[in-house]
Amino acid sequence: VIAARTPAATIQAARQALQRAISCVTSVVVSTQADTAETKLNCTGRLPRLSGGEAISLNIRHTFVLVHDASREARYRWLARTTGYLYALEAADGREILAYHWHPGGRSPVTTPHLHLGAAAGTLRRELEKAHLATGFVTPVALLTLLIEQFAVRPRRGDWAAVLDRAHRALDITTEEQR
Amino acid sequence: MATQPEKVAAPYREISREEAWALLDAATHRYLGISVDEFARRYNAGEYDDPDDDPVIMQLAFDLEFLQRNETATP
Repeated sequence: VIAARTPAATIQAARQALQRAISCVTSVVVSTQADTAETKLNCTGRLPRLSGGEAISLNIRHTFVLVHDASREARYRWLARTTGYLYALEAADGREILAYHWHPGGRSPVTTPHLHLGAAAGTLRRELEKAHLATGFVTPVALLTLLIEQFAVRPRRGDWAAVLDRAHRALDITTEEQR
Repeated sequence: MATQPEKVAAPYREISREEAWALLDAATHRYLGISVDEFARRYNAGEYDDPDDDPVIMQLAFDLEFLQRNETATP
């Protein structure tokens, strides 16, 4: 859970948590759109692979709102609550390989967290082409870990596992850590 | 395979609402050949049955919805 003393500090903490996690695989900078009640973090970057295979791209969108909880300790009273995400992995030609989605407030009738297998995932059964495969709530760490462990993306830091573990605990809204 | 631990600077980029709208306009032109205003009109009219059926539409829709639902919000 991301929490801080002020709204600005909470936004900064959320941005830094994502930036640190992203730094495990790329130097791209997270952009922040925080001029409203809700904040959107964005980042897109091409990732070279250890195997020398074709580069793949990471495409992350993560939104959250600030929530004030007067029952918490003063320095943790403002919390960042995730409101939606798209975490996608794309092939060099721009086609999607896979994407974790949660968009509960949008027009899509699918409002629970799910996974898409995209056109660049390989040959799929027809039933899976547009399937929304149910997942629990995930953080970008699910995708970042997959990149390192399965897609041969070179980690940019030796402590990547610890960094990703911390980022997951910070961005996970399924556990309400008491402080 | 693993690299040495490194300090990570915390650079970031703030995007204004106007910049976000312009970026979305560039994206709708690039992927759909239409302006963001036209995309918003079609989207709000329900012309995209389930936006989540198409990864490009879904990404554009996610950004549009964010802008629209915060249109009148106060910081």
